[in-house]
Amino acid sequence: MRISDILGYADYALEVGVLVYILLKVVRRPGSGLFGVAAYLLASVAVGSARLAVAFHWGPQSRQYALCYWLTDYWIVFCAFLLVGSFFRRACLAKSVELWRHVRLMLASVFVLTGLVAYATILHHHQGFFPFFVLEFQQDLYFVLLVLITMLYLMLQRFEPADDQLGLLVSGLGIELAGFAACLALVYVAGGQALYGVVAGYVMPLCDIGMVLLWFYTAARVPKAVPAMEAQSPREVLPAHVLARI
Amino acid sequence: MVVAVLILVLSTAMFFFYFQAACERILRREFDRQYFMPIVNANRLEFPSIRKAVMDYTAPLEYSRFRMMLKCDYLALTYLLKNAGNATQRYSKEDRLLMLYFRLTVFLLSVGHLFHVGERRAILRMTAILEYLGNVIGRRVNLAKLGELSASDYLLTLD
Repeated sequence: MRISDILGYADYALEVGVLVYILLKVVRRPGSGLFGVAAYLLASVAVGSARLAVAFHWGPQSRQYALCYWLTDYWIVFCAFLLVGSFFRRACLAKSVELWRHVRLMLASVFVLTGLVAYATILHHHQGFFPFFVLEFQQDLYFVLLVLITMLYLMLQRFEPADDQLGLLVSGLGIELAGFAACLALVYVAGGQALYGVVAGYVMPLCDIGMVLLWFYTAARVPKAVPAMEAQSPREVLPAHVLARI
Repeated sequence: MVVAVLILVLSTAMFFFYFQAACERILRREFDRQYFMPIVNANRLEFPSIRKAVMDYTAPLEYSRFRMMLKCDYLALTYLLKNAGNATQRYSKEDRLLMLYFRLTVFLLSVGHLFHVGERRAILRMTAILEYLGNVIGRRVNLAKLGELSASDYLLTLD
């Protein structure tokens, strides 16, 4: 067994372990703020299982595996987009509902635009689908997500009080997205199949492991920040029947 | 090709940015009190005085001396982290991450020294990492010291 295989299995096992831990935490404390992360990890584990099944059945060098790999990668990107959306929602709602309305519109526009560009590009390249078009396309998708998550990170920096849990979750996802985008861009620039083997076998699982470990640390050690209540007068806080007696 | 190069450069930069952001958030984790001072005093660590000197912007920066002192403090603290009041005698995940971050900052300090950019900031970051490690050790020692004492035992020890 090669080191890259061991890394891949370690990444998968770690994801399963952290998913179980976070799921238990979400079930015990529904308001722990980790539901989105659990859903994303669940999708990621499902993708890992599907890839393993296809690799065992058809072999890792087969066209079926390549097709499965890239299609599931699109699915993961879609799930990452939803996760980024949920992070935006949490950050904005802690501040104001109005802000979330604007951000929601922006996210929907980015999603529709990316989908249209993706559709047009696939139509244009449907003859020569592999290998470099896919690399370029995936690198662009990951980069779009990276830009979104960076906007979110900058937004969080301006908010007071700081939500440390969300900040760490965002940093974890940022490490993975930046690592993936950089790896795919490197392969595209260098243009080598051998380089892709090294990057996909060693660097990308390491980025994934980094993200999962950071999420695990966050789930274990950093509680969700409770939004500070705005100052209210007793008239607003007390129930009507109590006020009637005063 | 130009876009791919741009994405490569930006994504690599963002990767290190998020790595640093995660480390700094861990460092910002608050302790209920400052546990590091007894550790500093008992082991004659020098990072608090270095921080004071670096924060005084009028004083010259003694790069090589500060770098060596910080590395010595780092070695002492990582040794204590592994051996002082640690039943497993192993580093935790965040300890390892911060140790990696310290080494990366030492490297960045060397690069910054070559170009005379960001030296003070790198040194301050190193002292923050050492303070965090000192707090971890201090709290652990504090817990070990009080761990087997009941409230009444503890009160009896106070004169």
